[in-house]
Amino acid sequence: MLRQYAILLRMGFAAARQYRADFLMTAFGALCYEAVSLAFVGVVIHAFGTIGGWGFREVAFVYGIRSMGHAIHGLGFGQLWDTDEVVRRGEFDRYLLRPIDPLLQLMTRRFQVTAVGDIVFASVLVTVTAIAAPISWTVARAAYLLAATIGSALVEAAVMLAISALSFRLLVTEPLMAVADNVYVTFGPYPLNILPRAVSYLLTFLLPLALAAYFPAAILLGRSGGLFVPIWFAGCSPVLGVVLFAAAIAFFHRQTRYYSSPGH
Amino acid sequence: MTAIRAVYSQVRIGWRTPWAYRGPTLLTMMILAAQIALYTVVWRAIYRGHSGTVHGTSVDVAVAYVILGLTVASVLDLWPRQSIASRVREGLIGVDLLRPIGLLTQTLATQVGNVAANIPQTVIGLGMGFALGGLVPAHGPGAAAAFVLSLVFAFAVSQLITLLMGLSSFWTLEVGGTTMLFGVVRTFLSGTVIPLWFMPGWLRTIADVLPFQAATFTPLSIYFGRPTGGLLAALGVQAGWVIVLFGLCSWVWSRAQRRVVIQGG
Repeated sequence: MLRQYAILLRMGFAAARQYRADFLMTAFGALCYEAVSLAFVGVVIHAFGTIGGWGFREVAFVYGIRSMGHAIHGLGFGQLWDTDEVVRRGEFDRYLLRPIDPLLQLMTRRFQVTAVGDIVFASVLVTVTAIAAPISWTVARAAYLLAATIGSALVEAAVMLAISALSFRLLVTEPLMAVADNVYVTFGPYPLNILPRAVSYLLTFLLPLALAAYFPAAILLGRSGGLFVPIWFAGCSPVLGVVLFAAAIAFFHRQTRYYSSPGH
Repeated sequence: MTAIRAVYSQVRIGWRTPWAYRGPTLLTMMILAAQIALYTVVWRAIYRGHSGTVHGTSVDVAVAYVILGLTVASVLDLWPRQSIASRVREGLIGVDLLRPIGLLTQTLATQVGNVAANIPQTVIGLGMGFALGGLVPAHGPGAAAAFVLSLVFAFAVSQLITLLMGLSSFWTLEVGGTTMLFGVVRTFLSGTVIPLWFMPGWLRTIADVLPFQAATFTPLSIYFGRPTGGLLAALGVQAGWVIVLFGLCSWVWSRAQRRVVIQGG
């Protein structure tokens, strides 16, 4: 399965690189896009000094984890945005006929060029913000950070998989994905305990954004005092990411049963 | 007379397109509603623990600002790919050039129709803002009147910026993520989400010398009674940008005519 994935990914990558200027410009555009969204947060902190008692270096660290998670998610699952189209136009027929997992084929139908820019940007950002953050780094903490970024990607992937899986029945899920994406982009970099408690819980249990940056960052920064969940729960974020992701994959596969080929 | 009819038919095309493609139009509306709700929550949360005003801005103004900003931008700020860029890519620009009115006129006419079709979005934006208790009245009757006038200028500036970006596709053929990048830079520097008041000095200077702020920030700053350099100066800068951008569009188009590539032709 992994081998198949690697082969398909490499094929897509080769295809995307055929148009070299386009590849570079798209990746560069994505990089700038991320930079501008960081600038939003930068301006807010410049104006306010602190947010919920967190300084610039701490908020930037949350942002670093989230942007790395988002970049990895984009590389693996960016194609989910096209699920509606694949289902509606019957491209999914083809995936069912081939002896490879249909989801795997959907994920690799095109190479997500923007993810290259995102990953370059996020790697630099997460490194710089991790060094700048008031954390005394040990091997264990660095390992936890690595797990947290992967967990962050898995949480986002789980949300997007769950939504796009509804496409087989609803045919239109893009608005829902767009709203979820907006929530992730808008709230992503902030310490979520500043939000009204009801919203914080929504962003933990319904749309699990808190697991994707705030919880692990709070653990590493020693800011567990402000958490609105038990500390062990926050600490388990990367593990919960794996669990949610596995559940979402299973859900997606179950939903494919409701696929009805268009025009039949 | 025939020219007027020709222009009008272009306006009608622009007006009808969003209603023909209802899916994407509904999507924009949902995103607008969601963004307004999200930013309202975020601003209120950020302000908690900061009593009074920050950079002269209270939480009520910050929230009302972002509601109005997102609403105005959702009506005015069209994506350039809806205009010239896609026509160039698909080779349809050849048809456009055969039409009895110039390309600039017809593109602007289509955009006007497009903007008009977007106006119902103000109901969504302001309705959402009202539901969240985030709207505040204008600084005074004078500010309200000047706000409306400034919106007219903002409309012109915004359409000319979109047109200019569209014209650039004669060179770039819409390479890669330029449209996406343009969108986010425009949102940031026009002060749609974050008022320019919050920006550090150097960034404020950059925003001030570019045309984007004249398309959103200026009318909003007038609404809240804080126009940059006074009311007349703020309106004057907008008018200036209308002239400069119009000149730029004509100049770029005169250069572009010599290098039109009709793909598939």
